[in-house]
Amino acid sequence: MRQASEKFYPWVAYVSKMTGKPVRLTLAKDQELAHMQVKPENIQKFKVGAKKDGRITACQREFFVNTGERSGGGGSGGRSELYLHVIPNWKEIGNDYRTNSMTTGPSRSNMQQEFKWGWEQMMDEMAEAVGIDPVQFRLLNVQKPGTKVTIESGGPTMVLMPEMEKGFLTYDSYASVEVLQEGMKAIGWEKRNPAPGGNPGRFKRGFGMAMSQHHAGRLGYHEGEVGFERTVKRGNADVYQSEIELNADGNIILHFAQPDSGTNHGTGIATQIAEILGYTTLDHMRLSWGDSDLAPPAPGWNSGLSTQLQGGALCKAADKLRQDLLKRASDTLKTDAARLQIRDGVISSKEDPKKTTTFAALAKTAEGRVIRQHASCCHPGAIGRAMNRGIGTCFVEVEVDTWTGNWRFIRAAYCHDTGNVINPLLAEADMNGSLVQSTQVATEAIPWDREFPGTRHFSVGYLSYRLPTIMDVPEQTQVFVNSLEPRWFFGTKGFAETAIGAPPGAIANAIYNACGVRIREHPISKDKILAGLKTKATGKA
Amino acid sequence: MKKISVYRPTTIEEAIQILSLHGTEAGVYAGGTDLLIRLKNRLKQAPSYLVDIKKIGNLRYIKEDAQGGVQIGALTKLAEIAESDLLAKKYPVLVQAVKTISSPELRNASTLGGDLLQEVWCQYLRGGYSCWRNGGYICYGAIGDNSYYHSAMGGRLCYAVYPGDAAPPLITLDAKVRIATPSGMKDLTVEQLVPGDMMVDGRIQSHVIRFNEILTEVVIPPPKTGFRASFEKLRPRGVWDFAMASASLGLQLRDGRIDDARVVFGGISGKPFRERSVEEFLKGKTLNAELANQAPASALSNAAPLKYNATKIDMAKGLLTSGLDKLAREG
Ligand SMILES: Cc1cc2nc3c(=O)[nH]c(=O)nc-3n(C[C@H](O)[C@H](O)[C@H](O)COP(=O)(O)OP(=O)(O)OC[C@H]3O[C@@H](n4cnc5c(N)ncnc54)[C@H](O)[C@@H]3O)c2cc1C
Ligand code: SF4
Repeated sequence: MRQASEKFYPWVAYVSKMTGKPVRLTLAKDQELAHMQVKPENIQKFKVGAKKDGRITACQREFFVNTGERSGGGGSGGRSELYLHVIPNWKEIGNDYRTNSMTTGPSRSNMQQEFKWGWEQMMDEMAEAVGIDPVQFRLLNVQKPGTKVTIESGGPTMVLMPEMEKGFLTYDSYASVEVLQEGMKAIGWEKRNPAPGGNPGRFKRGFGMAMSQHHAGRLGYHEGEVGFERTVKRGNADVYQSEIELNADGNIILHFAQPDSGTNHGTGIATQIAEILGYTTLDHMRLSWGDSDLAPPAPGWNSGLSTQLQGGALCKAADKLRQDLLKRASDTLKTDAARLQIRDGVISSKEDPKKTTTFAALAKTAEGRVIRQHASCCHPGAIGRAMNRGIGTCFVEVEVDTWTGNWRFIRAAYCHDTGNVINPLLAEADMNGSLVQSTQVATEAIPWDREFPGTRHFSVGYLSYRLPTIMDVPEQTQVFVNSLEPRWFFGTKGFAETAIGAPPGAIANAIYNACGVRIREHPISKDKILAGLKTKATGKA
Repeated sequence: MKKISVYRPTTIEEAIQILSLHGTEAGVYAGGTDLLIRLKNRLKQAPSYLVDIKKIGNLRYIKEDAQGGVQIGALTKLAEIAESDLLAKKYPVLVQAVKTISSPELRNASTLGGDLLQEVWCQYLRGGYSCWRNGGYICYGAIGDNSYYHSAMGGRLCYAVYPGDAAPPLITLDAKVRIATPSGMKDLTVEQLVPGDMMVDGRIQSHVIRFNEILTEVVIPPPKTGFRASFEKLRPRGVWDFAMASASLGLQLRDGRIDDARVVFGGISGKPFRERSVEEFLKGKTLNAELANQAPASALSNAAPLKYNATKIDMAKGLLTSGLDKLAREG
């Protein structure tokens, strides 16, 4: 939302200056929808060729994107979001055009649902055309560890990277196969009826799935690495800085400028720092975030970069603090640092437990009674440092009432490779929210009036801004494939937005499997299902 | 929000006096779940003088009368209806319908009287557009996005659907309402109460209660042997939302044959839409699955959908089949 909120900065600054007080601007829901940004409307057309064995050989994608009142909202038509498969020949014809509709841009992830919705349905239609199960079809075509990518074939988010060899980057940490296989198991894919609409009776059940990955692997470089120096020198890197502070009370204060708007990444970051500094609980961790007066600068908050890069800078700073404390303790205890151990704020000799000091004691003797360390991380551009990507699948089972067009979820299973998951409880909760938000994107019309564009429409609150309710959200299974990523702190890959692009395609594919109605035009709605069923029954549109 | 004054009378007579004093500037305030939203959304048509009737003692009850019917006070909460054992035993269809209204939290605040007399939920009205119901001279719903809150059965000035879910099953139960007026009590059937899209005291409303009248009671006649009823509602989400379409059925059966029928559709028209052609079609027929499939052919032939809402008619027909099918299966 950063770009969309920028227009309010002068007002906020003005009011703050006039009152001498900090100012927070909160928009009502209808104003937020009218003044912030919404996903772009778009049309996508695919021409795809595959061999008899199911391998895709060529894809032509034509897209038209309504970027609203400013360009850039639809950008490249989300190509990088789609770039999941090995497609030797790819042609793209894109048209962005400006209109007087609302500002468009990232909303509930950047261009994911709106483009994958078409792509993932196309993949299902192709699978049907070549007579292969949709999951097997994806397994056949998806990029895998070992897949080589060039700047040209990698899509718009590829940039030159120090790891490139002979013009290629090679995927090495990428559990694309596992997320498909584990998702199948979690949902019970074998129960899927291979004939669309083939189940008997009024209430028909169906299975569907779709894949998703966020534009880039979220692995960066931290200071001390060659890639860090090179990337910073190149001049286009976002540098994330953090500071960590030990005070005389023995508390660790993590200073970082990025805000937290509900993601709770602070908990994940604090868990990592506690572990680096030898704490077994979070009791001594203190967060100071979101205020650039109290923390060194960092870029905006988006794209699953917070725990990775803001957190990475803190991990690096914590590492430096650990070394610093060991050195100070070594001097105080007259013991080689290699012979010292740390646990819950106490540093002691491994051989002689009586030789101890504490973090608090060391801070008390430091200048200003605090010990600080600072560190930075950077991102090599739009794509992560090496060919790791977070990747996800969403599998759903739905039931369609063929008499009324009503549909409901039966179950859902999200399956992710996001590297090591630091806080599974939080991760699961986040994914529950992800399904809710993405389902709304799939099932709600664009948030402006179709007949009076440019006017307010969402004035009946949550009666017309229809987020799925607790009654609509299915039982959900979360599978996390903790793939190996040895290059980053704790093996994390960046979590947010991985699978959030998948539900619209998964729901559409499941509805097709349930009742044989293919909904190619957004949103998925009961009236379209009913109309489709009527057409099927009468042969008339 | 505009400035308002709230009166808290303790008798119906006092309330009627205050209402009469302020004319159409005043409004009855029951649970407030419709009224206060209109005020907060700054609707021009919302009253400035609220007459809170909750201090009037004898308007909140569910009791059996001497004939075996049931009287429900206008201030009875929807939650109390949903939880009433007496109503569940005598009129399960009403309990079933009320349980699909809004959400448990809202049902704790909303009253039966308020549900029957609530304002329409057209997004243009609720968004403060200056339409027929809000001091203007145009209907945005008829020409705008009318996919959900608007009538597929035609209209006069206002095209909003009647939103209440309590009225359709009450009509199938032949329920009546009692109304306190300045000149004494009067009785109406629920069907007469909500004829939809009426000009009353110079404003358009869905019901016929005048500015200085108060609904006091709903009276349901005793259930007859052989009477069976069903309620089916289709809404966008599992809670909160109004009906895209609903079907309330009441069948008087004798030896499997239908002696008499009530068929009322909700969510598709400016009033609870009693479909007499289906009632006639059903009369004298044997209730079975085949009949359930045949019935929609006789339904809603006068449909006049707007640009986006033709689907309401198909949904209503689907719900009709579904209701009849369920009743046939119950045997
Ligand atoms: C999110 C949401 C979802 C909803 N979903 C549904 C739904 O699915 N189905 C449904 O049927 N309804 C639904 N409603 C409407 C809700 O049921 C009504 O708002 C409620 O029943 C009104 O009752 P109340 O006591 O709060 O009335 P109030 O808001 O106090 O009054 C409503 C109107 O009736 C008048 N009034 C009330 N009582 C009397 C009386 N005794 N005599 C004369 N006039 C009176 C008032 O003057 C006012 O005009 C929903 C409302 C919301 C906010
Ligand atoms: S449908 Fe009724 S409430 Fe809606 S705009 Fe038209 S007149 Fe107003």
